[in-house]
Amino acid sequence: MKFKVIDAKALSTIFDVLSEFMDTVTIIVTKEGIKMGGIDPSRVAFIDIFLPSKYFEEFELTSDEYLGIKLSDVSAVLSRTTKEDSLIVETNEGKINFTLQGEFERSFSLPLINPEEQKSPTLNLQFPFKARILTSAFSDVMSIMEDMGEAVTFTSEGGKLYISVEGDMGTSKVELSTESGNLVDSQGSDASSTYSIYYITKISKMKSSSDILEVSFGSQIPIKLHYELPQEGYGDFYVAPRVE
Amino acid sequence: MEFKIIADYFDKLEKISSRIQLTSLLSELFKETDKESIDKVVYLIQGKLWPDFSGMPEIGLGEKFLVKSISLATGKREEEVDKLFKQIGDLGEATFQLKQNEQGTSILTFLGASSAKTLTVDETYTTLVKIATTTGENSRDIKIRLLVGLLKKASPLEAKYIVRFIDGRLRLGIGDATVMDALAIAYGGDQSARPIVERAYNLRADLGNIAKVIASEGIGKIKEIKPLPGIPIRPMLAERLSDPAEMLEKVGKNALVDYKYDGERGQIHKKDNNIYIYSRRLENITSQYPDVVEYAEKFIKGNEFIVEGEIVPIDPGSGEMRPFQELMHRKRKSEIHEAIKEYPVNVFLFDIMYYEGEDLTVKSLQERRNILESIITNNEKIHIATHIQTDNVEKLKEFFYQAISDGAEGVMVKSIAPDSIYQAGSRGWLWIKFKRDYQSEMADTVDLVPVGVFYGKGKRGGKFSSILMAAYNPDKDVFETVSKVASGFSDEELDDLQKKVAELRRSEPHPRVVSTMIPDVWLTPSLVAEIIGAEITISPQHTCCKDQNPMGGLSIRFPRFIRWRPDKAPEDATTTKEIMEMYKLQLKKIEEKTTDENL
Repeated sequence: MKFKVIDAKALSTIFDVLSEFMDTVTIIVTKEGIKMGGIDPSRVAFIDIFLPSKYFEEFELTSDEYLGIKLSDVSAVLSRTTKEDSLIVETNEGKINFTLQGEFERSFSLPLINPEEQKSPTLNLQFPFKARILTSAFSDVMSIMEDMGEAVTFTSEGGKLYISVEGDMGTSKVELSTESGNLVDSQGSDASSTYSIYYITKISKMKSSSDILEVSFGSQIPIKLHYELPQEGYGDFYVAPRVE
Repeated sequence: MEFKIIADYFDKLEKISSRIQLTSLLSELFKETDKESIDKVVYLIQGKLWPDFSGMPEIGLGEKFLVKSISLATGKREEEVDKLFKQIGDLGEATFQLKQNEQGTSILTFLGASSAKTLTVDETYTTLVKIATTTGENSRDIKIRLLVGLLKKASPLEAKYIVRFIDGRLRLGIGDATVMDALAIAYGGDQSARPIVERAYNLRADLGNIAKVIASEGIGKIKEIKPLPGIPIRPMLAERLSDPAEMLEKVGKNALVDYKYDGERGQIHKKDNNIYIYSRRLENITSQYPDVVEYAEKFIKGNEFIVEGEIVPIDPGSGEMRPFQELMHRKRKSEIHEAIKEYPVNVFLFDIMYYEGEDLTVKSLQERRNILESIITNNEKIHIATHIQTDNVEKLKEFFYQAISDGAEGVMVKSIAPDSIYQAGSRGWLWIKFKRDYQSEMADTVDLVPVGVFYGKGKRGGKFSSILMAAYNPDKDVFETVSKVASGFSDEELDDLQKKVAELRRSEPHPRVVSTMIPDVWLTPSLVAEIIGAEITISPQHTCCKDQNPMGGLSIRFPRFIRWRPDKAPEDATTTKEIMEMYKLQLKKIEEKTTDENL
């Protein structure tokens, strides 16, 4: 198996975000592309990432492969990736090799670990409200909110999205709407739910891999953060609600 | 096995303090425990994941991250967790209360998977092991997530004990002895099996391992238990006496007399081509002595063995023994290879307990020594301890003084009778210590006050090497220096002292301290330490009683730290007047002794 991406930074960010949630992951490689994710050990978040074969510059595969990797190692190997680098990933005799091509070529080899059993669960949720937002704007909002408190509340009202945090110093609230230009689009009914900000801020680092994010939520149900990736790829992050 | 059983027993155990009741409850728990899980249960009871000597990491989650995990698991704000913790002073209890009306939701609820499954001992143990062994850049987040997952699945009571375990505050009041009693009762029916359990533990200082053997093979099996390379043996200990004639009497006249080296006592194990070194306190110290590992590989013949000896720092130039304190430099984690060069060591072996599958602890010392001598190849790093065989008191004394002048602490007088087995884990009259301190005229300990600290020299500096100690002069209400103490501290006491120094340090001498010596760091007089010394002499360097003596002050020679006396205030320390009385008494004794000997 071999695949190559032009934007190494985008892929290394995905691994990096994953490594904040889990220690190991099984990469499922089929002719359709690559899937990885799972439930984090604290059972709060569910992650589902798909990179279709056309996401890659090159994609070679003879038969389906299940590759167990230790994310902290991958994240360490790819930590110095720059925007100019492209990345080739290959497997070879129980090893996974990463080659970064940029100003100069660096290659790293890591042992594959036993892939974990994959029971890909699916979430069939009806979300009353959906909005699309620039990933950079969402990340900015979350980094402001992060210092204010631990629980973040998402509220939709008349098509507008309100993100608020109640902390020691009082309440901070951000209003996002299509009118003001900070939402790309929005649809649905009024709803409100609270989530742990610890999980949401870690996910918002996905901005380095994706430009547009679709936020979906309802009352007392998980929030879904759907990061759009090139060529119909996606990074879906579900976070269970806090009951306040 | 459900973790609930353990949590329920922990809950009952912590409410009682009678040892008999503790033992009987614990034996009930053991009876209910699956034999596959019993080693894990024993470790958990002792508040650990594996025996200390395994060299495996600890959990590594501090209070702050525990609070964060509890907050994430219960859906309460961190400040709320923190407030409750401050109020009741116990994170475990705080978790228990918060869990009873927890508000967090699990993503599993929405995935259609059931999250109501019960927690097993294996799952709990495995997750705790994962938390301990996760390394790397984001390991702290992963550790938190693993713990949050565990706490969510746990019942309030289970969560309470998981948190206490991680916090290192299980406090069940169960020591090794109680575990052994309970194992004897659970698997042997009554206390009568206790001695064989204890013997097994002495030979393999791993209660988890012993419990597993008992549970899976029956209590009869452990009668045949042998030492196992890779699991330390609890060391044999010596009695003490001060009269050389009595020593020979006790060991049956004829004795093997070894130098008692001032080094670190170590057991060297070999198994599957690996060398392990364990300290007297059964800690794995292999990483501190890569050179000893190399010497043992090269110079000790055999595939499987357990030998015991003293690791002694050696002057690379002269080959003479250096003070034991220099081994401190081997404790640091980095730059160990430089420390090897700067502070080289030799090993002086004095016993062998296991060789090529054979338990030698049941053989006489003479037989053991013969085997030991036959497996050491001629070399300059690993030696047999310098020794003589004698039944003569004068020869013993002579050898003792030779040992002292060679830099040893004294000698060990050992029985070589046919019954002179290796008594693992117990103190007996087969071995007797003959140390310089017991020859001294200073029979009583003194309580002194630290007033300053000297740091190690050169680039190796940073850790203190000795403490300047003072006695209290109540007439002037000042502290006068009397000694520089550099030995007798355990590792824990040293670490503890570093903390104490940080709290008490000052840039100038305290106004109540009278000293001509200038330590690297001055301390506020507030601690009291119990010190034993060999004798009191005149020293121009110390200020104790200097005004009463034209030659100089009084000083305690060869001082050794015994323990802290938190029960004493600095003003309760030994007074300068008392030290003067001890000095005079000692002079008188020496005079008497001289007269005696002349008669």
